[in-house]
Amino acid sequence: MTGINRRTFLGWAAAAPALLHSHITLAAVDNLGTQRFASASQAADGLFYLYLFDGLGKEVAQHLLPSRAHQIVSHPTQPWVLAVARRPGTTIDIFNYQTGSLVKRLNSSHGYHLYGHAQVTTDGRYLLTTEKKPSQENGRLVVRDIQQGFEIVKEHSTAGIGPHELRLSADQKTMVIANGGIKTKGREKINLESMQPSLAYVDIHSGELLEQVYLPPQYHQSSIRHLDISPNGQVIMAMQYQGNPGDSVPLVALHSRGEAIQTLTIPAQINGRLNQYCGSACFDSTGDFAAVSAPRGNLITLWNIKTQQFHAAIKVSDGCGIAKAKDAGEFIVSSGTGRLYTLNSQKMTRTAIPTTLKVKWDNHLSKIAQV
Amino acid sequence: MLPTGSLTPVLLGVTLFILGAGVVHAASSQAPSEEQWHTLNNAIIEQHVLPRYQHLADNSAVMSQQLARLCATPSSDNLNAAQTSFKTAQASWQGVQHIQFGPVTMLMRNHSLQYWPDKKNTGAKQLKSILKTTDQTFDDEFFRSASISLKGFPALERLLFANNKHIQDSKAVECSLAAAIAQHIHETSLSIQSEWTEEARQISLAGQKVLPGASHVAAYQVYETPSEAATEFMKSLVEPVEAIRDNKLLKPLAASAEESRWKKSESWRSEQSVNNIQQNLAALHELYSGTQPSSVKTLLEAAGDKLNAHAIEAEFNLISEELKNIPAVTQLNVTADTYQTLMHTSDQLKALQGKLAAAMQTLNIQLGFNSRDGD
Repeated sequence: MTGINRRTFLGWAAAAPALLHSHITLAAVDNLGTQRFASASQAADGLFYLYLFDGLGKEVAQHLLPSRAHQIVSHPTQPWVLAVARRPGTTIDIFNYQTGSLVKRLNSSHGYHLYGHAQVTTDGRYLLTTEKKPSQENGRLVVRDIQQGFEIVKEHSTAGIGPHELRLSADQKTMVIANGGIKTKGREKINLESMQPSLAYVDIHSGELLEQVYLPPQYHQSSIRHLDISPNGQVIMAMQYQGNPGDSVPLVALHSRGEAIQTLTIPAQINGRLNQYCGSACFDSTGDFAAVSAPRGNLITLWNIKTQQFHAAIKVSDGCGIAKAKDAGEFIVSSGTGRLYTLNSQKMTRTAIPTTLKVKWDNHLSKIAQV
Repeated sequence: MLPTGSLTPVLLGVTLFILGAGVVHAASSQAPSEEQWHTLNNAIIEQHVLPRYQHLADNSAVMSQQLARLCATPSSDNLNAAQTSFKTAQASWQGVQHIQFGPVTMLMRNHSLQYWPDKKNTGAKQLKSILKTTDQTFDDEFFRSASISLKGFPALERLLFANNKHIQDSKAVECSLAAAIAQHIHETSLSIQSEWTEEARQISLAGQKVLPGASHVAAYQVYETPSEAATEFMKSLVEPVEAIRDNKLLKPLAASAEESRWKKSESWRSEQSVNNIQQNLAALHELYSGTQPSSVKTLLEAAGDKLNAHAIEAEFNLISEELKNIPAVTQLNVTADTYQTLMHTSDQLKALQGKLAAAMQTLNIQLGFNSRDGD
């Protein structure tokens, strides 16, 4: 899809206005009010907080964090959310949002650091994280047994340098890992010329590398950092290009097991505005639509997964966090400017959620499982 | 070419409703109001952005004409005139290079105009390859598919200043390519300038509610508040300072005059690297305090931080004065004096960066959280 012009784009961008001044309907209030979301944030006092809120932007719980966090994941059977420290942090706070108390603060093993992402198996038994072990070049998939006081019970290779986000497949055995490919010293990148990002499928019990796919060689500097997995196992990737900002490279891709990575085309008029950086990827509740954020371009791109085509770009200043909402094609988006929105892919609308929370929302927004 | 006149007409039929939403920080009671940002945005657009794109369009038109003349009638005089017109047009680009949002980002026009720094030497490789061809037509179709490194000032600079023996042959591919690039730069400039009419309208509409019956205004709002739109201008003011220091000064200067690598500077072939920095700083200075009746400086003063407002002004004046006295670096020879002065400029830029960051806090402007420090 290339035949769009700037005016059309702007029209898409703010299919919003109407929205900006429109009121959320009563039905939507009922719907959104029952949904729970969580995100890390920084408040005006400069400190970092975990916030839980409902789909109307109303605070449910908050927790002061020891440092900046990245992804928040929820426990499927306990009223817990886990706040994972941002790379190269070392702590995970497990917070009970019903009692408002800290259940436990985990520390990574000596010398290890986290990459900001985690998953909990749907039976609530295991916590899995991507981590860096000083003596190993490739990343580590660390498995903790929650029932045994979060004791580390297994550790596997992620089969690549610089793992970042990870998602558990529906079979609850296969972990899909985005190996960004970037070797870092602190936060300094030291291997950009030779980096080799990959998507790895790893058996969480045996550590067996079940499948590993790479981008075509010319895109080896497109770091695969964030991903989501659809109900049918399709993976969407958000990438960050480390080469020249003027290069024309894909920033979004899809993958299905047994196939090659399918890079998606962003219309040139929009691609140039993304500043080579996508921040989060998220399927909707059906897997038919996806949203990928581009905070440096102040845009959320929307994708039709059935046709594997770009669908729209909607302007959200410094927007990065995306979570699926209950309805098909609907997403909740958070921004570094403290805004929350509902985006609807089918109606092409952006509706501001009138939150009173005054924080900068960090990169990722998570939908919280109801227990 | 579209007129770049007043924005006032777009306000007809519109009633201003300043939304006042979206302030994340614990807002200082002295931070500018949305109405003040609205006034500043319009002043910046009319007095800073549009005139600078107009200069680029005008000066690139002259450059295109001079290149056509050189190719038609090769001579030393015409080569000199073409080189001079290149320097003037490039200076115009340097004077608006800091605006990195809006139409200039469409189709990567910003990178097309100047693919730099070119870490992999892509421009040289692409140029070498295309110059081997004998039957290439450098038309719109060529530029639609050509490498981005062949479309702008760096490629033209190579042709005009590095391979200038060939360019004085009217039948040489160098000449037709140079003339085509100059024309492409001009057309790109015209497109940016033209599309800023729409961008300006969107910025002007920020925070305004369209009344029923308004016939000519867009039914959507790209910027929710004037301060959101102003944030783009504040990024244009603050972010280039570090980039200039890192890329244009510290990298080519290296650890000493003897170790300096001036070929890493921005426009060493045309000996304009220092002039580029002068143009950049003059533009940032104007963006800071050169608009009327409102400027970033006056807002900062009104917000109660006169001390910093004056310190920033003084820093701009000092840097400008110092840069004025630095001669162009010729023959890649960075003298000890020039090295010392440029390193001092670098230190001053660092100080300016700190002061501007403090100013943004006072003005309650958040330049970016996820966009500037993501993961």
